[in-house]
Amino acid sequence: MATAYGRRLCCDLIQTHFGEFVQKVVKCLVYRGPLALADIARFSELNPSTLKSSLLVLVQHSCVQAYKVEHEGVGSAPPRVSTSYVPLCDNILHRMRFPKFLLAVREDLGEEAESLVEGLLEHGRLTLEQITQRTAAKAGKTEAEVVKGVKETFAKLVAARFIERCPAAEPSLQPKDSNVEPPKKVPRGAAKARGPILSAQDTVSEVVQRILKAAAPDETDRFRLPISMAGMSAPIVDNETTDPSSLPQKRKFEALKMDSKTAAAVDEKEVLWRVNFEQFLRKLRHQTCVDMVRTRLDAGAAIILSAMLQATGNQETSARQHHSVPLSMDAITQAVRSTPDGQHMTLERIRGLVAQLASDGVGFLAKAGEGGNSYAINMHNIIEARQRNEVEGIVLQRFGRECCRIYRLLAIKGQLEQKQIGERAMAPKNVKELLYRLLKEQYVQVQEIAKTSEHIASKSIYLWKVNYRAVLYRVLDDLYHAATNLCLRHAHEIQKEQEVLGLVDQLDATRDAGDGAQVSHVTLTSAQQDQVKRISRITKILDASLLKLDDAILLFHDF
Amino acid sequence: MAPGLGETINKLLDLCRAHPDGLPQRVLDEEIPDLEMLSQALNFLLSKQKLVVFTQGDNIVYKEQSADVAVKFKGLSSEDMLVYQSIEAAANQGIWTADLKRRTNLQQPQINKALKNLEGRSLVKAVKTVTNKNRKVYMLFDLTPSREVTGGAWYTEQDYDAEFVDVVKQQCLQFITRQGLADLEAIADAIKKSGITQVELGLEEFKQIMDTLVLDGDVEETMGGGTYSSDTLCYRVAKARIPETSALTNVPCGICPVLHECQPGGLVSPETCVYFNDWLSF
Ligand code: SF4
Repeated sequence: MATAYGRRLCCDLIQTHFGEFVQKVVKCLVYRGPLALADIARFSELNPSTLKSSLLVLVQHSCVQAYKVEHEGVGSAPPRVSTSYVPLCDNILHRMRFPKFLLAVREDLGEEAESLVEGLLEHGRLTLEQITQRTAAKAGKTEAEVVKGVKETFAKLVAARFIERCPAAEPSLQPKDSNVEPPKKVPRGAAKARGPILSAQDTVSEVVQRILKAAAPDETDRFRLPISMAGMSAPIVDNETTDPSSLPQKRKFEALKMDSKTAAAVDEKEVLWRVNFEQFLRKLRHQTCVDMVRTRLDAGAAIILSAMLQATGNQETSARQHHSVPLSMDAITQAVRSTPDGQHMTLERIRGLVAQLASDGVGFLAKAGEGGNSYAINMHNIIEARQRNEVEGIVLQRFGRECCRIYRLLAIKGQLEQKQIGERAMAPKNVKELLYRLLKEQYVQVQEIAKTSEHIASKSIYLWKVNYRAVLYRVLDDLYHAATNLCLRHAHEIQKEQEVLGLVDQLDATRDAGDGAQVSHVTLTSAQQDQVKRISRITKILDASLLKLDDAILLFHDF
Repeated sequence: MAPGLGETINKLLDLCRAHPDGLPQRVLDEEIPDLEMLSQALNFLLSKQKLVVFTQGDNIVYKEQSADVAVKFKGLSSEDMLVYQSIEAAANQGIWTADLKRRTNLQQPQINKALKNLEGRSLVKAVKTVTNKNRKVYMLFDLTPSREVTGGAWYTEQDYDAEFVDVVKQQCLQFITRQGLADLEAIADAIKKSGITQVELGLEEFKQIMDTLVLDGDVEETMGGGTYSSDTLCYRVAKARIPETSALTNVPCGICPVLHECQPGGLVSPETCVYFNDWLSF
């Protein structure tokens, strides 16, 4: 679901991170869908070399994916292959959550892992050799001194699936797929006619999904360590028995044929690695689930859920996993007891909490398996409950208690007339005003049921209702809009203070250069110092707010 | 020999007393077969306002006017009576003057005169309605207006008393917080005993209050628990409250009335936004 302001935000983020030219390229792709190089050149009006390097940057950072389309030959002309580029909006938006990703990896695997991931985020994709070089340079040591540590950390990150081998540079879409290529031009106004959910955009994201799938390495390959490290830590192997003739097996076989030393060198020098966003999202999604269970039920239930998520996380197959794999009661007990918080829980307590999580009114766990003695986590339900909660909070803050009551009433009861709403929400006097406030911001809808063919207003019935999908869209777009505004304001503030910030840079530079040997000529007046203080405080507020907004964006868009 | 007018009148009145719920025409026709005499007697009694006519379904019935009532009605014109009867038929719902006009086929001045007479004698009264405050309805003097007219217990003087509702809500919530779990009757009992209000509140009113508390996310419904059987609807304080803050509404744009008009470089823009100025400079 890419909303209007979601696309805008993509462009703004690219602008701040990579500058004007790269932004132009992204803008073409984000607003027009997949394009061939020639089309991008035409729309962006960039000269070929700038365009090429801009595209390279985007591909390097997984913001754009290239793919090949085969066109059937016309008449006697041979089939022709062309390359197109699609924007990966989700990945672009991930750029504003890098601080969150770094925090997550530090929590799990410590500072070395954080620094390694930081390098990958900064450069988009790196080989193991480059990673080692970077670490050595940062620590002021030789590569030989750091290589062991780097490899250990690297292996841990791969095992935890935080990093992965890069996908194929230019996968081909099968010819039979090409006829479902999205319409290049969405007719203007079509969006309005279809209501807020753009089906045209949905098709684009579908195509993006297919391309990504075609580009992705095989699951086993994706997390396969370089040959030189093969013994260090076994990557998680898929449970499925692999067909011996399948590709990875064949590749391994070929790899064996190669001189193993050369192969190892290739693996270290040529294979590119990048951050696996999916795994970071999974971790954040799990955290959200646990937090929700803690507020909705209690800390005990949260411990159970957290343990179950940990035990099943590796077997999740999609980023928006609906249900986890089922766990038997024994497996749950074992998982809970192996966590520091749950090690002293009695069997009875665990059973009680599981029953509570699975009870009708809650539905966070679903009974599964024969005899119903296994439980799967219904993550979808938990996330939905959390979203509902967030929406209600927004309605409450934005429109007040009475509006929130009306919103909840309509969400629960379906359609009602104004009079009924006034009575049930105990707001008979101002119900009309409240309803119109909600209507104006598209949190409720009203439908006329005409009893006369002339649609005489006094003879018609007006039914009010909540269209939840439309509300979700509204909330998400407002979130993007707010985030965009925050970014724009920040850029504006920085620009306004350009002069004084330039001075600060100069000061820093002279301080770094001479150890007091050369006394700097630049000093800040007290007014300028105040300006600097102000800008750094504003930056702090805006950055913190942006991260919070992004939590909500994740909740509504990625989970 | 056929009875005289006087005897017929007496017999008629006797019959009326024997049928306090109304003397049907059918009975009259059987008991007083002399049609000529009967109509004379009826006319006499009606003109003296000793008798009133009603319709019950398709039937016409007669009732004797009691002595003191008869005094009140003495000297009212037939138009006045027509108006009176229309008002009486509307019972505790009351009737609006426009409807009176339609029912009686009288002219507005006639109706106004009749209403003045009837109000002067405390036979009818005007009541303001909650549905339309400028509109008065008329009903018999002794009647208590229906809930539709007054709005029920939450209305004071035809005005919705939001403050009163809030007080009762807070009391209910406090009681549940103290008790942990309570059903509707226990809540109603406690509030009535607390004496915070003189207004008579029924279970229906308490249910309304509880429903709002549920919608506000302050309490939640649960079946049974504690000393209650599993088929009793009970209330307890909600665990998951509606959040008091959200990321979106914590930034100015999230509560901004002109969010949808706000464009970079536009009339309203994030660069020049005054809300941001305040927010960033506190
Ligand atoms: S930037 Fe200012 S004017 Fe624009 S939406 Fe935000 S608060 Fe409103």
